[in-house]
Amino acid sequence: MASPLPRRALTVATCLVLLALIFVAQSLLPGETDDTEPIPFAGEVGTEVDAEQFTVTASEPRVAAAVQDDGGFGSGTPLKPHGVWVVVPARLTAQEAPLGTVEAQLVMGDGYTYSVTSWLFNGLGTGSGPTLSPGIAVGGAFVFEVPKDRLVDPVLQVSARESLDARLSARADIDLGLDKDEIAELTASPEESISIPAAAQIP
Amino acid sequence: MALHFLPVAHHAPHAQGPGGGFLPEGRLARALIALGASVLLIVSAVAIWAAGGFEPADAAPAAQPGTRVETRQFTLTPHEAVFTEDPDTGLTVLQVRADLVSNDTKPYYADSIDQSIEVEFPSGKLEATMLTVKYTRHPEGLVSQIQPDMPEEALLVWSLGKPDEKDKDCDDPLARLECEREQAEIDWDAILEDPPDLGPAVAEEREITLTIHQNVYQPGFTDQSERWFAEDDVAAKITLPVSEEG
Repeated sequence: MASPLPRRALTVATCLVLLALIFVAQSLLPGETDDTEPIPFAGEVGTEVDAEQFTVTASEPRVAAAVQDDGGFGSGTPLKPHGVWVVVPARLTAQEAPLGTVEAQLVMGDGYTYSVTSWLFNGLGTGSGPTLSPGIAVGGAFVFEVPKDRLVDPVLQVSARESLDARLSARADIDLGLDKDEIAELTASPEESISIPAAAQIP
Repeated sequence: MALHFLPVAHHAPHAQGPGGGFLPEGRLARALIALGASVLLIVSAVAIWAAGGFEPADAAPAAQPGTRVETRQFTLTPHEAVFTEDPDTGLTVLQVRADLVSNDTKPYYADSIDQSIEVEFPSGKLEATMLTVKYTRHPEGLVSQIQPDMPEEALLVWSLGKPDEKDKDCDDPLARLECEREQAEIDWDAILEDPPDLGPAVAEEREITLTIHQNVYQPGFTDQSERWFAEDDVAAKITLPVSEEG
């Protein structure tokens, strides 16, 4: 058996190492927010992205200098953007249950995030529009207002779910596939105006 | 004679008493003094607390309109305030025109800035209740979320009410607990009443003071999702003259 002094030194060293490991383990614990992040399903423009709870197909994004509601309860006056309007036409279908909440964000490569405009009544994800019923596709457009120089590697994140609570919900992350040159071209000569029709079921 | 000059012990002067200093010698007396001093300290601390002496001092005098106030969540530059009529409800509202830009990289709900902005009416006869945000470039549209990196000229519109009589007691720290408990109860009768006539109170008001608090992005206590919360720290106080529009 070792003499008392080396044994005591070994005990102290072991305690210190264990304490350090406890601090490391504690700092690695994910917080509640990270624990319950929505579950992403990645995809691309033009292809159907299966997010298990719903499927979504986004079309080529369009960039405009004005947008307006086409019919419906909106005012119909053309709205000028603070930057540009990014319009992403999309078609969503619920898979199993009716999904009453549809939300979308445009997440840039540098982390800057923009949510859909609340000024258009007809836009998808604004709280208006039909509930997604299983098997019946709904078509419409997500409309974002983005400063020109913030439009970098945009990814459209779409969430459709039963409750308002987004925790652990399904989310489709769709790479809009716009490179630097395309973005420069689109923002330099945006479409004059885009009319947004009300989101509607596609027979 | 040499012996005459020998020093004698009892002639030597006493330097100090055996205890030293001004304290009495008895243990009991000393304990009583210590006790008395402690009681005095505690009583004066409680008195200072009751008189509000431990509240943070006002950081700075109220600033002028047009002062830029930076918090972690947003930067706000209030310019002018008017009482105007809400076109939808016909009720009188307080409208503050201000430059507003988010300091976050993600959107957040516009009404979340309300908890960082306190509106004070010197008359004490009015109370700002709910905030809605509009932009001057499209005043018909409500702003649901503030987007990042988009400086805007904003209209901060507060609906108005009469301050609850019960609020007054809460300034007294001794009555605070009871008072806060009463406030937590919902007054169902008041909800069903017609909105009070605020005309005389509005006509009397000459200025308002906005107290803008610092804020922090953190998880909530019961709902642990991360969002913006106001802190006690005051970023700035701004006094704006206010008039009735039209």
